[in-house]
Amino acid sequence: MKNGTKHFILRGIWYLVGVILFFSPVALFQKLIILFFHISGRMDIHGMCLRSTINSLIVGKLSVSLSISLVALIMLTVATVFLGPLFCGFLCPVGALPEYLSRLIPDKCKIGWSRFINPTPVRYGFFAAFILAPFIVGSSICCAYCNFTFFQTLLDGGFWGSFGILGSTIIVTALLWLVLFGLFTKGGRGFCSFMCPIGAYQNLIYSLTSKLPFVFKLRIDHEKCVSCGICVKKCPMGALYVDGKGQLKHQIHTCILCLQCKAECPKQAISYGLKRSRKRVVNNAAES
Amino acid sequence: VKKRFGFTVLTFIVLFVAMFGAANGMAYYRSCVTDERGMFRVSLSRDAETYPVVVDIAKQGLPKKIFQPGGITVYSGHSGGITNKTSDDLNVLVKYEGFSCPVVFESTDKDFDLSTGELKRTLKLNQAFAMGIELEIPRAQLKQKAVMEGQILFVDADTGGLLATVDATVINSNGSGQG
Repeated sequence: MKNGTKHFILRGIWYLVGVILFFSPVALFQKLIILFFHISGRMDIHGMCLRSTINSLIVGKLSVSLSISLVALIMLTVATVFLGPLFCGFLCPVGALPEYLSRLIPDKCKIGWSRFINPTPVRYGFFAAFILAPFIVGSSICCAYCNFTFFQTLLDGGFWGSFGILGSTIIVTALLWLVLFGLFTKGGRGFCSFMCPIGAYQNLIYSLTSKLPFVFKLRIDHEKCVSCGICVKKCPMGALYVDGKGQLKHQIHTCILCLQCKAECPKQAISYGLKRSRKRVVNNAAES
Repeated sequence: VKKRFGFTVLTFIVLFVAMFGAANGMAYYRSCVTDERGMFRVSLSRDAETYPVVVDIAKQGLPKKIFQPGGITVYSGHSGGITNKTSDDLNVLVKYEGFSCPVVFESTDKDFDLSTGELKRTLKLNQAFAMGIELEIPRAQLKQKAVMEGQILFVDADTGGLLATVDATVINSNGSGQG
């Protein structure tokens, strides 16, 4: 089995762990937090809603009382500072579902949005509106367009049972998340690229902290890289591209650190870790 | 290598502003379709007040009209909405009557039993809980002006006394017939 396929399956297992951790009926994370901190809360994804907590944090309305959401946000932020947006790359089943489903559709039927449009300003534009819309139009997009809610609804209905009563905004979300930006988008992660505030929040932090020496990051060894473009094709977020000079470039604002590129690279030119010191890179080059 | 839109400063700003505008448009759309669901706030008291809620099918958004026009929620919001205003500790039982279609309870409160309508904790003064009902109205019925009506009853489980009533009415202002 190819490395890339193995990694794709491994990620799939991690996403299932994400389902067990964060979504009912198990919601293990919520149960552990309740047990550990002796607080009350809901035993489903709404119990640890990151979207509303991020919103409250940025507009300065975050409740200081301990809640599952607050603990989850602190853990997410700390993990992102040191490790990058690994939550998206390995634990978020909501982003993974359309990615895995999109494999069922032939590539010629899909749109490669990131080939034509830089996703960075789009996702940050959405993120800015996510924060500011209540002040501008007096209405929030926080809960109304939440694909986490719809994923929980799918789980509650057993994926093939009753979806319950859906509103127009959730129907729009489902169509965008699963159909237009899912099944019919190359990589299947159009919603993550353009419309996920949790992803944008993490990438914003990651872009600010990644230059620090103690932060894990994606590393490209340009001496090993032959710019074959395999990683570019396999990146579900479209976060890699070959520039006009034929050099592989990595967009830190959209990368979710799924490390699919690392697994696919035939030259082992991509790695994940702390920034290498210049001296060690020179030594490694001399050894090889 | 294809040149992608959004890499120069100008196109970056254009994309940012375009998405910012579109997302605000989504927020505005959300406010336009809020009336798809009927919402009520109830004070539980010995006077047993009645709270009217009207849901108008004609105000549904297009996606709802296409995919699920007969699915109607009447609820108290996700957090709270039904508050004990009596001086007693209450064990609350919720019932519904009068609806001529399938009805189920919904609640975000883990103590609310969806099968019996019973709140499994005692509600003290000023404490609140959240619940609602989901109606599955047949499509044919949606064309009438007066679509459906019924009541949600909040009862003291210990004494059987009525604490509040929600009069839920579903109409279609574009419908035909009397109403």
